[in-house]
Amino acid sequence: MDYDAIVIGAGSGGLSAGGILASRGLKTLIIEKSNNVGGCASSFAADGYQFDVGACIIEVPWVHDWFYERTGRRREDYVRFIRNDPLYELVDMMDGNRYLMPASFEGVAGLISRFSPRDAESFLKFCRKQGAVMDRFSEVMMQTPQGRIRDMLRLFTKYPRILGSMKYIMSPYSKLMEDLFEHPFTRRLLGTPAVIGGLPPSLQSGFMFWQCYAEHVGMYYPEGGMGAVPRGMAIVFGEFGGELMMESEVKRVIVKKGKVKGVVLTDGTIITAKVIVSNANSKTLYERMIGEPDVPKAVIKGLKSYEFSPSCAVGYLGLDYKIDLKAQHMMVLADSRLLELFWSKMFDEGIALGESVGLISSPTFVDPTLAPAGHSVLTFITMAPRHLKGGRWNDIKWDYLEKGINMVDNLYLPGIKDHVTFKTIATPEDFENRINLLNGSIYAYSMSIMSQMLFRPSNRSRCIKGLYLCGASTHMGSVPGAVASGIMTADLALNELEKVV
Amino acid sequence: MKRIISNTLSIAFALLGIALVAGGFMGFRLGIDQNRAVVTYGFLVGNWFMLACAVLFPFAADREYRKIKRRLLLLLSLLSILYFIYFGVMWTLLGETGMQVSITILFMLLGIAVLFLAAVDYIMGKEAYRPMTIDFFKQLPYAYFRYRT
Repeated sequence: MDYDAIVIGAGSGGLSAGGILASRGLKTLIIEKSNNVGGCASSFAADGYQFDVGACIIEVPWVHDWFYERTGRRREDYVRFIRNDPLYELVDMMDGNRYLMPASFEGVAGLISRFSPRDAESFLKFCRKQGAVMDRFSEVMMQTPQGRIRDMLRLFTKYPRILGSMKYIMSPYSKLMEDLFEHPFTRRLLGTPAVIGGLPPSLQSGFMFWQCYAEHVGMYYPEGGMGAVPRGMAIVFGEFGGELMMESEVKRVIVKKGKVKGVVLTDGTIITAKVIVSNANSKTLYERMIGEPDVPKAVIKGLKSYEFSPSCAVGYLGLDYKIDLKAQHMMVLADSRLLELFWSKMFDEGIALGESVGLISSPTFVDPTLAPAGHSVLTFITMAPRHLKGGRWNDIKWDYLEKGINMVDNLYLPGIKDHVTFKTIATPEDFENRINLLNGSIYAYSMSIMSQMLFRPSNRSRCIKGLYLCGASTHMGSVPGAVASGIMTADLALNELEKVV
Repeated sequence: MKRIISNTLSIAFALLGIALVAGGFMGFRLGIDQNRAVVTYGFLVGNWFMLACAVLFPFAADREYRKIKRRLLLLLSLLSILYFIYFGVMWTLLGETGMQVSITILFMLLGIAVLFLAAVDYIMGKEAYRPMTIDFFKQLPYAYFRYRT
C-alpha cells in the first residue's frame, strides 16, 4: 500500500481527519481538487484584498480547540480568534431602525426590554434553562457518531437531560417564537437564526434556538481571515509528515470485494491505501466515484431522496475607504412571514431575489490587514437558488451583483457604490464547480429532522469496508460540524486500522 | 367551526382506536358465532364509516391538508375491506381459536392505525405544526433508505 490513509478533499472535515490520522503516525495523503484549502471556509486574494469565500463567522470555537488538543498542539500558536462584540448591526426591515446586537445575554435582554420587559425575562429564562441544555447536547453530538441505532442510544444516554427539551426540539421555530415572545420585534430579532440554520421558520426545529444561544456564548473572527483556520490545520498536518496533493482530482475510488483499495486520479494515477476518508459530498462519492454494483441500490435510492439545504450567492467588494461600521456583521431583521415568502420564491419557484441580502461582513473592521491601508473589504451573502426558473446564473450574475450592491447602498451603507474599486461574485453554480459544493448547498443536505442523525449518511460506510465519510453531508452544522465530523471519522478509521495492525 | 369539527373527529378516532384495540383483546372471550358477527359488523360497517368520513370530513379541514386527510381515511377504509375479504375467505377454514387469534391481531393493528390517524389529524389541525408534519410525512417513506446510507 502507498499510504495508510487517503483523504479526499481538503475542506474543514478532511483537514481535521487528516491531521489527526497523521498525528498518530499514519502515512496520510490529502488530495484536493482546487488550489486552496478550506473549501467554504477559506480565503482568496484579489487586487490587494483578502476575501472570505463563504463562511465568515467562527462559532463554538472549542471544536477547533479539540483538533489542536488531539494533535498535541495549542490553537493559539496557529490561529488566533478575535471576539466579536457587538455581534451585529441590525437593520429592521419594518421601519429602517438600527440596533446593535450585544454579545452578552444581559445586553440582548436589555435591548429586548426596550420593547417588552416580559420578553426580556422569557429570553433570559429560556437561555439559562433550555439554551444551556441544548448547548451541552450540541457538544455531545459533536463528539458522537450518529449513524447507527446504538450510536443514537449512546448519544442519549450520554446526555439524557436533552429528553426534557424534546418539546422544544420537536416544535417548529416559528411556534417557539410565538410561545416564548409576545412582541413582534423580539420575534424578528430572534427569528432570523432559523433561516441561517437552513430552513424557513415554519419547518425549522426549535433546536435551532441553540444557534442564537451559541452566538452569545461567543462569536469570533480569525486573525488573517477565514483562510487562517484551514491553513492552521494544514500546517499541523504537514508537521506530522502528512502530504497534501493540490489541484488533483479523484475520479474513482477503487473497491474490490466490498473493501476500498485506493483511488484513481483524473490523470490516471493509481494510489493505494488501507482506508479512505472522503470529505466530498456523499452523493458525489457513492454515485460518481464508486457507483453500482459496489454501492447497493438501497443506498443510491436513499441518496437520491435527499433534499438539498439552501444555496447562496456571495458578492465580494473592495472599497477605497474605511467604512464607518459599528460591528463586523450587518443583518436585516425581517418578519417570519416575509422570510417564508422569500424562501418560497427562491427555493420553490427558482427566482433569484437581489433584495434577499442575508448577511454583510466587513472583516477589515476587526482585522485591517486584509485590505491596503485606508481600504476596506466587504462581502454580502444572499440566499439564492441553484437552479433558476428560465435562465442560467452566468447570464444574470453581473446584474445580480449590481442589484446586491444597490441593496447594500440603499439599506445598509449609503454611498458605498461610489467607493467600489473591486467587485466580483460567486453564484451557487460557481460554488458547485469550483469547490465541489454539490448544488451550491451550504450545509449539503436539508437540515430537516428526517435528514439528520440516523438519516444522514454514516461516518463509517455501511456498504464498503475501509471507507469513511466526513463533512457537511454527514453531520449537521456548518464549519464546526465539519471539523467535528472529521475528528470523529478519524477516530473510527483509527479503530479499524488498529484492528488491522 | 372547522376547528371544532376537526378536533371532535380526532377525539372520535382516538376513541375508536382504543375501542378496536380493546375489541381485539375481547376477541378471545367470544365464541365463534359472536366472532363472526364482530367481523361482519366491525369491518363491513367500519369500512362504510371510514368511506363516509373520507367523503364528508375533509371539507372540515383546511385546504392544505384536505387531500392528505382524505387519503389517510381511504387507506383505512381499504384496510378494513381487505380484512373483511380475509375473513370472508377464511370463514369456514378458521376454527374458533384461529378466528380469535385473527381478530385479536387484526383488530389491534387496525386500532393502532386509527389511533395514528387521530394523532396525525390532531397535529395537522394545528396550523403551526402543519408544514413540519407534511414535510415529515413526505420524507418518511425514505427513512429506511436514508438509514442505509
